[in-house]
Amino acid sequence: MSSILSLCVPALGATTPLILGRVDAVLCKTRFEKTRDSVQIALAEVLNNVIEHGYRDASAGSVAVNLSDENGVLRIMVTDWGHAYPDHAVPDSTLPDPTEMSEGGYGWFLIKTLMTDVTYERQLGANHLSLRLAV
Amino acid sequence: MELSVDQTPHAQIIRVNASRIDAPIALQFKEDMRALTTEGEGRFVLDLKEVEFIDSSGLGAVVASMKQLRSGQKLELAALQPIVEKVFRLTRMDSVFTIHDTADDAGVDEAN
Repeated sequence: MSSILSLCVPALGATTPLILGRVDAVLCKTRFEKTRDSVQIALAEVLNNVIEHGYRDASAGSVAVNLSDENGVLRIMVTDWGHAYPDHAVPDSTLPDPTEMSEGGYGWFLIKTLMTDVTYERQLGANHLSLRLAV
Repeated sequence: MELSVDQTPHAQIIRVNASRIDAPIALQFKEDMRALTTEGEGRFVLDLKEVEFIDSSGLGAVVASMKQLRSGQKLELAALQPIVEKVFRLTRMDSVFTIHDTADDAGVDEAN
């Protein structure tokens, strides 16, 4: 396993594009270049969830993003110190019926559809969400 | 959020002059769209040529913009860039909106 990128920044709406920009710039130079769009979409949803749910009572908190190469599989680990996920599990993700014109409920669907594997762990007051994407 | 409007013979083209429609601006986008569609009838074409990125909040705001239209108004989309196209395709919202390759195409096409 080799580290590609490791950063820890405030989880704010304003920092999300900066995190995504850093990740995109780094992925450009790796064998995961073709996963860039999927990573941008999925990681944006994860970061939004951290801000809207994890730190819903706080003005701000930290989020750590780690990218690594696990024998050809891209692994993205996102850690925050906010509220635990409901039921300590990755939420269900059924795609809303398009004809119902739902204004929400797409986030986890996009994450799970774009990533090969999504796992969640609550440990020592932190949320660890691990995304894997096989090329 | 920067929206500008061009009146063409067949449609009002609403250009999004921003590179992202995401969580921090989704609500403002929805309100700006409401303001722009309080009057007029017929086709509104949302030109997304400049928009490189959309998240689920932005998608929700575009859907809301469609839902808040009055009768006699219609919202279509144009110039979806790769990530935007992917989000609409994966969520199957591309089956709900009429989507044009460019805003110019949309201005020429007659409404179905």
